[in-house]
Formats: sequence, structure tokens, C-alpha cells
Amino acid sequence: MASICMYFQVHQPLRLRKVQLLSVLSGSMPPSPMDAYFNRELNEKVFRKVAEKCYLPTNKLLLKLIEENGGDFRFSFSLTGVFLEQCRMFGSDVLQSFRRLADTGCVDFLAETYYHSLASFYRDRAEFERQVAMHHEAIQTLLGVTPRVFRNTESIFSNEIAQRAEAMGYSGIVAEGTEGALGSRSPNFLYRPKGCSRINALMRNYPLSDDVGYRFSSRGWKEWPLTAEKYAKWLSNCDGQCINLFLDFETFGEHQWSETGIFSFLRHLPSECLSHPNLNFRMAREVAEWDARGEIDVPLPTSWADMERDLSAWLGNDMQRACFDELQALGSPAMRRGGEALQAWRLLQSSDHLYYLCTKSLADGDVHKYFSHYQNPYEGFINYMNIIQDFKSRLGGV
Amino acid sequence: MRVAMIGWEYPPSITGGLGVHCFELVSHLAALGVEVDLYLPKQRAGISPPHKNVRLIELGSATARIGAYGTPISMPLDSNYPSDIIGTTDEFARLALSAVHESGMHYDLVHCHDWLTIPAGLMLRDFLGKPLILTIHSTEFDRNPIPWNWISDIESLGVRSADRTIAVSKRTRQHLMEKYGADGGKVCIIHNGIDAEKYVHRQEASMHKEKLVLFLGRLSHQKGPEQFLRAAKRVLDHERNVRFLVVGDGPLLPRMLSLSIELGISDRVSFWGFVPEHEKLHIYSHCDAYVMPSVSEPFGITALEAMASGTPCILSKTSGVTEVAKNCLLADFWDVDEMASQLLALLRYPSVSRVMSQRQIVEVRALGWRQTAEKTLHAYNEVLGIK
Repeated sequence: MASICMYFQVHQPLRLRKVQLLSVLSGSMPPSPMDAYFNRELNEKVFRKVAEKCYLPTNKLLLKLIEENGGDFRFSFSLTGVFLEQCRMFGSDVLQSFRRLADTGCVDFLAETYYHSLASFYRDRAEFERQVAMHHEAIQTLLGVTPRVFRNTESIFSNEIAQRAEAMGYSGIVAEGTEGALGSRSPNFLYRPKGCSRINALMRNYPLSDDVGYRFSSRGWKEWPLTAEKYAKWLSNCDGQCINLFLDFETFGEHQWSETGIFSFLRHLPSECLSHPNLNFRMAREVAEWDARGEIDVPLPTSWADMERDLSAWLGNDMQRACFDELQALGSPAMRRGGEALQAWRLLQSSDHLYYLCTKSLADGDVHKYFSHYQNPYEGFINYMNIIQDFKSRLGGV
Repeated sequence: MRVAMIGWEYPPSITGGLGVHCFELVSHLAALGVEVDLYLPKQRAGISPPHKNVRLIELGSATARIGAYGTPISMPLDSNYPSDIIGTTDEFARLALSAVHESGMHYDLVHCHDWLTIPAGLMLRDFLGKPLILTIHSTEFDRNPIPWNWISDIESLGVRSADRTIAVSKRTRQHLMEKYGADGGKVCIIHNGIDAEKYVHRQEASMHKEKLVLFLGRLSHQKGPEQFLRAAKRVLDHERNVRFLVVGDGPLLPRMLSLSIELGISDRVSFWGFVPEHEKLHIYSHCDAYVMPSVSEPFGITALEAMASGTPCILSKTSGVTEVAKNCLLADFWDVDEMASQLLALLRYPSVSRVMSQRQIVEVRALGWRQTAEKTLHAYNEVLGIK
């Protein structure tokens, strides 16, 4: 018997305004850093578009599927704090739809860094724990669920991060099922990260996850079109404890448009899977409690991004590292200042701002471009750096 | 295959991309086994063929005093020549025809470049009864804010008469379809290339204390030198230790000199005039940024030259080169504030210059003239029905 552990990542970046260095240098920026840096109009427009295409219809369908299957269909979500902030600003209806799912008891919510940041690599180690605690509390307050499983930003994982998640009391942690971590072993088991004593790693089965997330609508793929029946059969042929299918939530209706048949696929997935006697659905918190079947040793961070599945999507070039360092250096003054300055500093930490600056070529570069509202990484870098310079002068010319 | 190619300029005496293109194209076509006879007006400087498959045939005397990008307003007309440019192109066409006629040479096709050679192209095509290929490097609408009808008429006639037109960019193809009603099916896009090996790479830790920002191109309305100076002024308001180099000659030189005085930046702007090819290589590599603020730029080979040197570029969004070169900054040609902001950023944030520079050098390696020649040969074969 293998359990299907599905979790959907829900995130929406807060895109930045176009800021010219001349405006910064001539002191003509708006007085509030939040207004000056974040493009409220664009963010609202994108949020509402995705809400209509993805969040609302998918949640409606998921709720129906839970009801139809009487508790046998279960899954998990991970909502970033940046997403929750936008629900507050532009989408109470969206938040409510998540709340309704939470109330069924069949939906788990994972813990994260509130700001979708790379705080796990900051010199000030406490900032990471603070952001995780902020997120933990937000999920409890807004959704009535106490997270048990931790998912670091972009599934960034290492022995050390697992140890820190364990110290914060989590029983499970999400990791990419890379060959480096697993060797020839299957991702469909729980593993104990090296140096940990209780926490279990849930390894993403990336081939099966990407069949839905990336390849679903690809007509050049030999398995196209992918039906729920066919996919359920593949899952049923898997050995192991749990098949971890971790997907971007926007797979439904946004990355894969409704016309591709993705909603029909989702509609039939629970019943097709449950028609196989060796398959069931479990939430991440349930799976995390089972016994680990081995140890994994991941000294260098892995992630779920790009072909490399490492940190290169965010910290791969000099521009990205310069931005990361400069912003980090503003932590102490921003914290001393508090209020809006602290909020702006933290929102600027979203890993998306670094992701846009990636200069990788070939297929991955295209993915970065797909997600970016900049013409190219250089424009993105300059804009972000201009904002940091402005922020620096507001904080008193650090 | 033997091609009668008709050009106007040839290195070292060139005023723009057409001359570079013709030199590189015939060199690489020759290497691909094509025999090319390039008919040119008599050039100012001595020229020699780059390959045994190439013959350079100069016609008349000192016609090349009229630049390929000249206009009746700006060109210094040679006193030996009729003062009307139509007469010049027609005379060149007659010379080309009689040269072909006298030699009795057989050609598979005729290939001409831009409006100046269209009369000759049409005449040879009719005489030889062979297909005509026309490459458009720029249109009259690119070159002049108020286009001369009689030039655009020639371009229109050429584009509509040619068996195949080659546009140097998507945007040029679009222009040809919109302005001249060209049949899109007969216009193919072949971008210019670059001989990247030739260029000296910019050293990141520049030894010079002063930062250098480069404009390199003809000083004509099309190339936007005025926007360059206005952006320079904005930069200098915040950063004094920058020198702006204006390399190139043209009708707007006097106006640009006075503008730099008017703006109070004449001590920070150096006008270098026309510089020969070998000096150009070094200029790029010594500059911290290259700006191409063209109002209308069908392609923009200089951008590839700067990129091959690893000099960070700010390019006008209306330039064809941005269709193939992605590692650069883009600005609207009129947006002087944006250009100035981008320049200040390049000067202040070393990591962006570093990354851009590295990626540019890699990027342009894939944009060789060999590919331009291969695609051109493909167009020849298509027109001739060779599979």
C-alpha cells in the first residue's frame, strides 16, 4: 500500500515598481517605502487574474472532491505569507475558500518562511526562526491549523536546515528527491536527515510530479494526453510508503490552462486512484509520523528549481549575490526602525526578486522569463538595486 | 554558383553597416564555394579581395565620395560627378551594365544592396534574365525624419520587383510590408553577424580613473546623438567623473558641438570624428558602457561590436539587433531619463557590468557571419529552385 501525499505550493510574489536611479538620486521618491517599492496595481491585477483562473475554481473543485470521497481524498497546502498578505489586500474570497477546505479536516497546511525568503542562509540566524514563527502563527490564526511539516522556501533543504526545523518542533520536512540525496533509493519512502533524531524528510517524486506540473499539456510528450486513469495506474505500480507529488498550485488553470483538460484530470484523479486497492491519500502531517526507512545526507542545499535543483536559480550569478548581500546588510537598521521599514525590508527578501535576475540560458532561462515581469535580468537587477539604494538612504545611509 | 553582387561601399572606406556586411558576406559565401563578382563604385581607398572566389570590380571614378547613408542634404558631392544623386545611381547602373556586357560573364543571379544599387540590380536582372535578390539594410523611413519620396519610390520598386528580398531584421521586414506593400512570403529575415574573434575584450578593473561612455555612429538624426548628449547631462548632474565619447562624423556634428556647450558639459564630451576600424576595436574595449540611442535602427552592427568587446550596452528598443542579442539594457530612444538612470546604474553597480560583459561575449560567439552567409546561400538556392 502506497499513500499519495499531494501538496500544492501557493505563492504570489509582490512585484516591484519600476524605480529609476535618477528618481532615487534626486530624492523624488514617494514618502512611504511600501508605496514607493511595491506595484500595488500590477499585483492586484495579477492576483485577481490568477484567483479567477486558478485559486477559486480549483478550491471549489477540491472541496467538491473531498465531499464526494467522504474523507478518503486528502492533501496539503503550503501558503506563503506573501500570498496571505495579498489575500488580505485583494482577496478575502480566496482566503475564505482555503478556510473552507481547512474546515473539512482533510487538508493540511505546511509551515514556511513567511516572506518566501532565503533567510535560512542569513548570517543573522534568528531571522529565519522569526519568519517561520510568524508564518506558523498566521496559519493558526487564519486557517485554524497548526502546521506539523515544514517546507523551506522553494523546497530548499540540507542537513542543517532539517536540524533547525526539528529544533523548531516539526515532525516532517519537504525535500527534493534528488539523485544526490537518494543515490539509487526510491523517493517513495521517508528518510531521516543526517544529524536529526526525530524529523522525517518527505522526498518529492519529481518525475511523477513534473508529469503533471510541466509535461501535462506538452503535445510532444509521448504520454500525451495524460488521463487520470493512466496516471493512477502509474501510481498504483509504485512501491513504497508514500508518493510525494508536490506541485505548484498554479498548475491548475494558470500554468496549464483550463483548455488543456487539467481540471478534468483533477476531477477524476481521486476516484481513479481510489479504484486501485493499493492506493490511498494522506496528508503530509500523517505521513511524517511514520517510520523512516533510511538516512539521507545532504550537506549542500538542494531545491526544487531548475535542472540543477540547487541554489543557482537565486544565487547563481554576481548580480544575485550582490543583491542578497546588500539587502541582508540592511537588517539591523531596518529592525531598529521597525514598522513600515521592517515590513519593506522583509517583503524585499522574497526569493522571487532574485529569481528574476537569473541569467541561465536554455530551458531554465525560459522558465525564469515566463515568471518575470522584467525585460531581462539586467533590468531586474538595476531596479532591485535602485530600490535597495533608496531604502539604504531612508535608513540613514548605512 | 556565380553571383553578380552589387555593393556601394567596401572597407576600409565605409560609413555604415552595408560596407561591413558586403565584405563579410562575400568572404563567407566564397568560403562556402560561391563565386562572387562584387561590383562597386570606385572606392576612395585601395581594396583587395578577401578570397580567391571573389573579384572586386570598381566602376567609374571616386563615386564612393557619396556615402551609402548620405542624403541630398548632407552628402559632400564629388565635383566630378553629377550633382543629382539619381544621376549617380543611374550612372553607376549603366557602368555596371556595360562592365557585365563587355566581360560576357555568366551569372546565376544578381544580388544588390539598398536603394543606391537598385537601379543597377534591376538593369542587370533584365539584361541577364536571372533572378534578383535585394538586401535592405535600411529604408528611407529609417534614415530620414522626412523621407524623400523619390528614394522611397526606388526602394518600393526594388522590393516589389526583386525575386527575394532579404531584410536585416524582423522590424525591417515589417517596415517593408507596411510601407512598400511587400509580399511577406518573398521577404526573408537574415540578421547581420559579427567576427567576434577580432575584438579586444574589455578589462573589468579599468585602469583609467575616469569612466568612459561611448556613442559610435554617424551623427545623423537616425542615430540619436542628441539623446546621447541629453542623457550625458543627466548623468553628469550626479556623477562628474565620466567622459562621454562621440565617435563618428555626420551632418549633425556642428549642432552636437553647440548642444554640448549649451548643456554646459563640453568639458566632459569628446568628439573624436571618424575613426578607422583598427582604432575602433580598442575604443570599445576601453569604454565602460556603449549607448545606441537610435531613433530607428534596422539592425545596428555596432551593438554586436560593443558586445563582442564585452562592453555593456544600452540599446534603443527600436533596433533590429535586439532580436538576436539579449544581454543588454533596452530603452526607448526618447527616454533620456531612463538611459541616464541605466548609465548611472552601470557605473555604480559593478556586478551588472561584470555579468553582462561575460554573457555578451559568449552570446555573440554564436552570431557569426558564417551563419549570415549560409542563410543567404539558402535564399539563393530557394530562388534558383535548388534543393
